[in-house]
Amino acid sequence: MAVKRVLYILLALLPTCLMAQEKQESTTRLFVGGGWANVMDTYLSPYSYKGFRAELLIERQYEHTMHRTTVHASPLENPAGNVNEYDFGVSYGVAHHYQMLKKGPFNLKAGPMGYMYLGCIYNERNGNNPAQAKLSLMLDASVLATYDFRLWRKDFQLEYALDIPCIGLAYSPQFGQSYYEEFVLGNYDHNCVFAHPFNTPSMRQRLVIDFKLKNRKCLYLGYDSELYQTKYNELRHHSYSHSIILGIKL
Amino acid sequence: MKKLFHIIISIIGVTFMLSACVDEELPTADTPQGNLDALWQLMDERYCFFDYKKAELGVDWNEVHDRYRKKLSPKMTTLQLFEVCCAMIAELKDGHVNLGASFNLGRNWSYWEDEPENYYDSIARSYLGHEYGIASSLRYTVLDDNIGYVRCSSFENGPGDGNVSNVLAILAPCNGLIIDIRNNGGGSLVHADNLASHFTNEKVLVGYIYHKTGKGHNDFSAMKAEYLEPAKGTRWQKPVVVITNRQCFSAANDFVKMMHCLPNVTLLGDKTGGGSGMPFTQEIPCGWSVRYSAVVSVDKDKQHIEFGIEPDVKVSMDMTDVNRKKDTLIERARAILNQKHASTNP
Repeated sequence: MAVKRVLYILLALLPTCLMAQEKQESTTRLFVGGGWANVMDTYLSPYSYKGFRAELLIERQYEHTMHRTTVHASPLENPAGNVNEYDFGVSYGVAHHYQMLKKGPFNLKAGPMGYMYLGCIYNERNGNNPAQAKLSLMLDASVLATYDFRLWRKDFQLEYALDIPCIGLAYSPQFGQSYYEEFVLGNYDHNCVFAHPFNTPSMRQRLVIDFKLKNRKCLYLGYDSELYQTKYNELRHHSYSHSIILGIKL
Repeated sequence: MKKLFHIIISIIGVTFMLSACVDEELPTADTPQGNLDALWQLMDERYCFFDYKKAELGVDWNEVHDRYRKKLSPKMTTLQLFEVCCAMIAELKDGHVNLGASFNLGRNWSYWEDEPENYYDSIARSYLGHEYGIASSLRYTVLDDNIGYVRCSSFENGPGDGNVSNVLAILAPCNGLIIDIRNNGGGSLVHADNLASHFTNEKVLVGYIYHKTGKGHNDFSAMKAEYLEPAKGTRWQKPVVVITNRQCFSAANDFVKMMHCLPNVTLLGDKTGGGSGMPFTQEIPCGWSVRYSAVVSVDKDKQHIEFGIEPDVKVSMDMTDVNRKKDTLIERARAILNQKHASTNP
């Protein structure tokens, strides 16, 4: 019943995020990034796998609404260095930001964000538990802060974005449940989990500085970090990443 | 500006605090003690047959830990550590429990290594001759008394529904059918189910399945019924004899479990090897893989089949037959099928 209630709340709140696009000028930015990833999923292994992370991020920003799509891929290795794991994921988030504070060069906006994630972690050695599917639909708290400043006779903007997952629904197999039971026999066992900050203590953050170029073009350089953690059905998962991102205004 | 600085510092602090919330719980030290403890704890939390093995074999997992911990020494070699770890998990006498290293595979295969094989490959192949058919993992022919003979040595890569339908359609004029799964060490449950589904006309309860829901030895989900659904293709209506030996393991054991529920089927040969726990894989700090039974499958009476399924007709290989290049089990199966055919077609 709790799961159903959360689903109704999400469905009711998502339209506020998906409000009709303001007929205002929008900014579309494309980022590519690379960095370090640390992934643990106890359905696959009790240990953290580490490796490189590549990511692509497209963001369309209106006055109050923001759409963000990200794709990432990480080839990872176990601590002993003899097994590889591959982490892939696609996410889409849409946020509606309200003006919270505007004081001189400082601007603070915050609001709800609907966030969907679809991904998979594949372990090349495991037999009947070779992969962990990731699927979630969350309502996040989203904050966007900007600070304009001038340096060396040029205009810069520092931007910080923070998203914290609040409530939602996520997929998870049961502690020792096989995909054969779930998908061949169709045996459901609490595979749709009610996610909240106590079992999903996570955050995503990004710090970007933009360099304004000629012809209204911009170049962005920043740091992107994801600290995603879950404890569902006695299975523990974390995905930590720290990336340097480079972007352009399209 | 000062306020903003404080906010950023706070967020960075929260970031580092958060990143310690969900971390590794097993020993991480790549030392003899760290690896043995990790192996023991991994099994302790995830292996699904502790209570059954305690009842059948008297295995006390805590006592096992204390006993094998004493065998460790800080200066022991990798091979010595592997030997100790393998001996520890071999206490469970489970063919699905393995320790995998690049130089060896730790196992306990005593369930068939200490038993008569009841199978001679060269003799069994002589029944197939040279003109036999091949359909995925099935080898088939018609014996000279008009009995169909199908050899299925693995469920790794088949058979699919289409393979079974076509083979049964070709063998349809036969008076009976032998399915010889001796030495079939398993594979995919889906393939085992594909084959069995061609021998029933109705949905049949064949067993129950359940899994662990937590780290306690008794943390299990509710048992969920497993049904065998009739295949959409060709379905066999005449008597069948399934020939088994001690090497019928895992998915082959499950196939026998399903066939045992069908009225036209006779199990002949030796008790199967068992292996009713679906294995998962994890690892310990040094990188060795650990395979263990994670999901329990029981028969339709909710009885464990981890140590095998008894045949309806127990037959062992007769050395006199072996010397004559005859397979006692196949000959006995033919006799049963011919007798059944004669009694239904006087």
